[in-house]
Amino acid sequence: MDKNKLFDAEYKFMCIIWEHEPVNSTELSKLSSSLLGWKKPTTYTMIRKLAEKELIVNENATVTAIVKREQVQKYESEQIIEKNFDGSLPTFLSAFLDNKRITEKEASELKRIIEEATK
Amino acid sequence: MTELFIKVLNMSITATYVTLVVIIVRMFLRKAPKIYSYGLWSVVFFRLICPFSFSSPFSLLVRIKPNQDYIPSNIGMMSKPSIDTEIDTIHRIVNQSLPAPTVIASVNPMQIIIGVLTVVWIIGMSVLLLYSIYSYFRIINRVQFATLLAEGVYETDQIKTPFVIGVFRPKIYLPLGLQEKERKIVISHEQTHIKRLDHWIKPLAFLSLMLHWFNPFIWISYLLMVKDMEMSCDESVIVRSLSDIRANYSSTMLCLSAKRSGLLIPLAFGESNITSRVKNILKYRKQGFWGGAVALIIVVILTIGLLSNPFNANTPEARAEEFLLRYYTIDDTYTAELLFSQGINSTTGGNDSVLTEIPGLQDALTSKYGELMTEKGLMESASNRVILEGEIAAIQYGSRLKAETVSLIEISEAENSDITFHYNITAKVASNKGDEEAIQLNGVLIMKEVEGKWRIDLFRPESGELERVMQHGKPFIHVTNKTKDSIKTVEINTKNNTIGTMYADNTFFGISGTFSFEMPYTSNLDFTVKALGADNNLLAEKTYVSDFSKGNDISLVIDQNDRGLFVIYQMPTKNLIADEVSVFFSLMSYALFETDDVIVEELANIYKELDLEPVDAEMDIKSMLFIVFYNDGNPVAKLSVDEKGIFWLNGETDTYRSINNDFPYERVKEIYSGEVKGSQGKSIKASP
Repeated sequence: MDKNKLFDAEYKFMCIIWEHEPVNSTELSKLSSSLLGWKKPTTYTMIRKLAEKELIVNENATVTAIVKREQVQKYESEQIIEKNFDGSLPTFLSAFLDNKRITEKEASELKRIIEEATK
Repeated sequence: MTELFIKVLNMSITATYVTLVVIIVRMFLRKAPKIYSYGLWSVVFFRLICPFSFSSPFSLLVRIKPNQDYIPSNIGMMSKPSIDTEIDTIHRIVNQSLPAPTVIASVNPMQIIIGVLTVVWIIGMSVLLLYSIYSYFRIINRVQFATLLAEGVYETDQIKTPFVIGVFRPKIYLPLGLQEKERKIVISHEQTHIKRLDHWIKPLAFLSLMLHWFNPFIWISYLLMVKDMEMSCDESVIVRSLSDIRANYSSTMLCLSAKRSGLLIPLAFGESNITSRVKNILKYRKQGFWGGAVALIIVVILTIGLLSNPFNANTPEARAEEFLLRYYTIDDTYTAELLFSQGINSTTGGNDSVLTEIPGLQDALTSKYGELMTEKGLMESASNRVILEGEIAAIQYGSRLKAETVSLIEISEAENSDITFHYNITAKVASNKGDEEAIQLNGVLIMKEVEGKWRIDLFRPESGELERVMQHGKPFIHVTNKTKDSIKTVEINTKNNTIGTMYADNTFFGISGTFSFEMPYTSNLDFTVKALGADNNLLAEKTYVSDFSKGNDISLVIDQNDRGLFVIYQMPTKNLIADEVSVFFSLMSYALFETDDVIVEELANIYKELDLEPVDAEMDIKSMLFIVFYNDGNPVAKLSVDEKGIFWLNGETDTYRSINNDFPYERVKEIYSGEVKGSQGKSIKASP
């Protein structure tokens, strides 16, 4: 399986790591206890799972992410477009923007992104 | 285990009746809030797990009589197996299909069938149990990484429908991506489940289903119960919400109904019976006061009616059962003490006038049985003393009897509508030593309707059965009087004390009467038997050493010989219990040692059948067979016999002959010589 494909729980857990890395695993289990409602063993199982998938490393009880948040986000959004919009970005955008107003700032940001992508 | 299975089978039959009633009533309660239908299932549940109930005059189960076993627990042992469901056609069809035991088969085929069914039942339960444990852990594993959403609420992308799991700390699990509105609805549905303890009720119901897995009606009732549980939960959420959320509620349910999981689904929001649940929600209206009251009254009446067993009603069966349970449960010895106070302590001999003259006896009997018997029935049972037998047995043998189940088989209905039953009682006997034993008792009853009530008009327990049961396993000396009334007293003494004195006046120890002395459990007990005449003059005396440690019985006979002299001699005991036998022949140095059950039984039966009388004769040692029976390694009986049919008993040299001259000498010789050549034979020095 593609290692960038994350389940909900994995993604939420990765988010905690991205925010706090490098983070001590005891500290991490405390964080996930309060944020995700997990018991210690659940956290450690998850750490092991993600380490096996080579998404994080756990050295000397310190956890660091290997994969960056943007990478995962990019993958996830590609997946969504691929799955739901036949890989068509315009279809996705029009569905997304349906009846929604966007700010001037957002619009110019989008323009800049599109221009950069077509260069 | 077989007994348990039959108990479950009986419960299953009652529960099936109750299920059918509940299903019918549910149809009438269609428009009422589902909490009523849901509540009704508690009765089915009760009937599934509880083998007994209280009696009430409102019981609706009069026709089917759940307090009586449809299938007797001893069905495997019955000579003519039958099942007693009260629905006539079922009754007939089932009973025709039950196999009767054949004489040749050593095991009753019914016993085998019940045994096989028990095994199948256990396997079925185990499979279901293992499957549910497996499903439980699979689901636990699946929601392992669910993330906290709110207190007790978790969310995960591994599931498609929301549910509750956990017994002591139930948690709600939601699938990912629910809208805020949907989520609120789902959570309040699941919280209602938890508040109503449905997360306990459902697994318990499933456990009871496992016990009755072979009964399709119970599966139906489980599925309907779950449906009613969900609907009533839906209703409760809607009632408690401030605004009308029915539209939102049902659309949420439709959204989540996409996937159904296996049978042992935990409590779930959207998983089952979607169409009917949506309909139910949309047409749900708050019940008016009167509508609710009517539904409530129906449910209460039905609950009591189906929960309770009928009082023993005025049916021949019920009245017969009440009588039998009373008769075969000995809890007071008042009547027996009355008899003893008048010197009457045996059921044999005597005449009617003696009994009727005992002050208070008639009253005692009438107060105990009068209501259940006709006058004629009571008088007859008193004069032939069957009615006294139980109580006398209790006080005489120090045992207590408690009848547990009664099964009745109707034999015939007379033209005057009297009904004859054969009965079979399962009872527990407790000895003084505290051990308990289950026993079977049989007999015949005739029921007659007098003054609007069914009463026992004739009571005929199988003769001597109760006495035999009471004596079972205890050592006894049975003394039979074969003289012509000339003995006044018989005494049994050991070295230190008198075990028993029996006054041989005419009342009960008449000609050929037998009296039994209960002996202490001892091995190698020396005892002396004395027969005394009218002036306490010694007529005969004899001393024996015997082993009473195994409940061995000794049969003694007091008789007069040709010259008019009194003699005491020992008869082969009728209660011989042996597990081993050895046979010696003449002065040969070879003996047969046999533990083969068939041979031991054959020889023991020959021994038990013997009826001996003393004779002046010589034993022919050259043709003598010497047979010794053992039980648990102890010799319990010895017998020598020659080819002319002259006997020695128990190593003594008094000679006897068989009254019927029926000892199969050649056959025993054949057993001896046939077997002694085989591998069983061992070489020893024979010393008869």
